[in-house]
Amino acid sequence: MEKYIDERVYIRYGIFEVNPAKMVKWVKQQVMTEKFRYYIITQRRTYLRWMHDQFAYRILKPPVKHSHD
Amino acid sequence: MSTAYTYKPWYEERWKDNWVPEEVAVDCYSTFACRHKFCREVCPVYQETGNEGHSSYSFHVSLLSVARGYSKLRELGDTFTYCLQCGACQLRCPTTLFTGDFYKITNEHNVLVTKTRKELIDLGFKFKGADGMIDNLTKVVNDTDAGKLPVAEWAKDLNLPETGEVILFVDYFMATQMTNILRLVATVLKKAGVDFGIVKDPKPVFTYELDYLGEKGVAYAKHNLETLKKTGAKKVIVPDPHVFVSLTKEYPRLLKEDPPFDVVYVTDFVAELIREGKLKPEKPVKKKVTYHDSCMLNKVSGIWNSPREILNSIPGIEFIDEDHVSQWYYCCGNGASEVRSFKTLHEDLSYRIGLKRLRRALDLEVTTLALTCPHCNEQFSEVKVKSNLNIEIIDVFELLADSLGLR
Repeated sequence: MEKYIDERVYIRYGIFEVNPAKMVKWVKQQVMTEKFRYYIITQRRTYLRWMHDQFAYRILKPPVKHSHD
Repeated sequence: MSTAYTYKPWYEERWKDNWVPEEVAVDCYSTFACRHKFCREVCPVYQETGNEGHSSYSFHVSLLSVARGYSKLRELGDTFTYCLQCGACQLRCPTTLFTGDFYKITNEHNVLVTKTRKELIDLGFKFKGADGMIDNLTKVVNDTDAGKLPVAEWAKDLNLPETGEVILFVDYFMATQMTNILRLVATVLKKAGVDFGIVKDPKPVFTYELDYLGEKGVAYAKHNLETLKKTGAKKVIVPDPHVFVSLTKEYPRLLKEDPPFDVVYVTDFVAELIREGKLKPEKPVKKKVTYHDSCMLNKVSGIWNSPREILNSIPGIEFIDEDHVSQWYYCCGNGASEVRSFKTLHEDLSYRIGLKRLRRALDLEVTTLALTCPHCNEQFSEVKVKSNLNIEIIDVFELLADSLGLR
């Protein structure tokens, strides 16, 4: 299921992930459910898409009081 | 051990006035080390007060200062009341979004704030102006224990059973203060031919107050979970976002047990019924409507599509949508607390946050603001009256019932 990039990092479901077993020396691992992990992934993608939609194709006009037109 | 929630074992340790666990300090460092401060930009409280001390960034830095001996927990106590627990900061924060899945480390701001407040209470700290909230909480607890809360009155004439595969679960707030909406929900479900039952003696859910109540909170949670198990429910439908968060996140955390049933938010359930053709909204409703995303649904639970689906299925409605990510920046001002702790402690601030949201809706030139949360409904109705703004506050189920010819 996991495709290892090296012994620490693998790709699972198309997403990079650090092998938790290799992390414990430095940072205590919390219990994170798959559901929560997907929630984070979904929200990140949603936010990036939103940023793109908001700012990639249009330039916001300045408020009237700052306009020189 | 439950697999239903994400948690940090070190959050179960007791704190002292001048000590927090090193693991918490490490968590706080990851926010302290950040210079983006996106959490600040998206926070409805910070947007209104402009006070750095009211941002998620600041809460983490405050705790770090306690961990490093620069201050004491009780000195910073009242700062921790300036949080609506809307969940915007933890969605917007790169610590959550950009490392959460990669390193499996995430800061849940709501959990941290709840924990900090509980520790402060256990240390004997009294939040400034909290007497009203404590009175409110005590009254609900006393009335519940004395069996004085009429939690099943709303369904008296509906002949709903107490068992079944589908159970509609509500706690005291909706059952006593939003009865009209609740009855509409039940009527809509009946119209679709859903066989469902109810729990006739639910205990208060108290989403983020469960910890404050200690043993009593655990007893209430246990009672609700056991009662739901006894009904034989496979699916529990919830019409209150705060109750939804309790059943899906807080109960598993508190009881360390996964509920043996699916918890479904009522709009998800009803949108499915509309998709399947079991409900056909046909009567036109002539209104220009926008929708307010409840924080507990949109930010904390990731449910934002189904209410829009329902609104779009109603003929005659001119629906002017503001996307759900833009609404990460909003809150009604009531906060996540079921006993209105934020509103009680910061009445004016809560009003200003709600007013800002209503004005933003009016900018879209709509006549109506639709919502699906009873707590947002309560807050906006109050803000509307105080501010005299000309906007109609309405629940999605009122619009749906009109279109289905149910009222």
